[in-house]
Amino acid sequence: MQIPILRRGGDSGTDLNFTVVGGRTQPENPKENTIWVNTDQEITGWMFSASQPEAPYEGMVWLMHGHSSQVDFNALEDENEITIGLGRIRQYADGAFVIHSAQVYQNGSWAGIWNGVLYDYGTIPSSYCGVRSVQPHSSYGIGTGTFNSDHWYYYITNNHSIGLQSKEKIDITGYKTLNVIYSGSASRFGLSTNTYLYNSQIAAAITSGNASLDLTNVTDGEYYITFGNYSGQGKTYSGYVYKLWLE
Amino acid sequence: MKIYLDCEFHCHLADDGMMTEVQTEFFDGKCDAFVEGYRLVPAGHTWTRDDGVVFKGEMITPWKPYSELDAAQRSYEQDLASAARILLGGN
Repeated sequence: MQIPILRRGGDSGTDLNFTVVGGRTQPENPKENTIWVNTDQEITGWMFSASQPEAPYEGMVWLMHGHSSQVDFNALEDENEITIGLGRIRQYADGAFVIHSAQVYQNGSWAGIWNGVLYDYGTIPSSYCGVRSVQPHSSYGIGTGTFNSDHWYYYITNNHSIGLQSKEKIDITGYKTLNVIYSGSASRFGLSTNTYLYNSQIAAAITSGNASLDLTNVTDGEYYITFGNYSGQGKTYSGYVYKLWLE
Repeated sequence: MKIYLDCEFHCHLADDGMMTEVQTEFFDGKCDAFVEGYRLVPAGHTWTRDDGVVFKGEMITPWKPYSELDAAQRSYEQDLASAARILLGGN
């Protein structure tokens, strides 16, 4: 979906209810709906769009509209309303869009915008999208999954299963790839319509190391994201997940 | 379930003589249209997306829009349910 709101020059003007600003330092005394993009590259313009802009230019900021955003606001100052659900933010630099962290000032405080990272070397970056240890196969009881200083470790044996999973369904609108940094037994990661990856998967890959899963043709929408495994009788598996993220 | 892969790793239900045969449980219970909308990259193989990103097998993911595949599968399941009701003498 393309929202026909774009402006070259970076300033929202007087007819819009938000401002897009850049810089490495959080703005002081921000107005309501100030969108601060954490970048040291000059912002030369911006566009709201659910899909990648077709004619980007250097410094352009692409603000992605998301179905289930943790940040939304009325983009117009008057009584008319265009509700923007703000998703990921990218800026065009040297021929490609680069994801930037960003925050929006609303009701007296700053709210972070998720950048697609579910788990990052011991850190769960976003309160919007946390992860947890779950049972990813309905026929196999839950095994052991532990969060450590820089990795999530799993161990399963004799008819058990375990997975590192998004706490809620994730809006994957615009994301093309699911990535994992991992070492251990061959395991599965992918998207599913319910919490049981093995029983409701719509796209998945199997890996014993770093890997990626193509999501280009997965319908924009909300799915559980899981990295997991299950063990049959007499089998033992283990592994280390270091990072799990969408891009 | 036995399926066949073409040179783009698209799944097929019949071999044209040039395809690779694989066995998978991923498509159990799925209709033909659903199966043939998927790409399966076997372990030991790689597939390169149009933007140059390389994906290693084993990977199973739609190459047609999933919304179309899901619609086909739902229609198939509805047809099965209707047929079952007829057999059981219901409406």
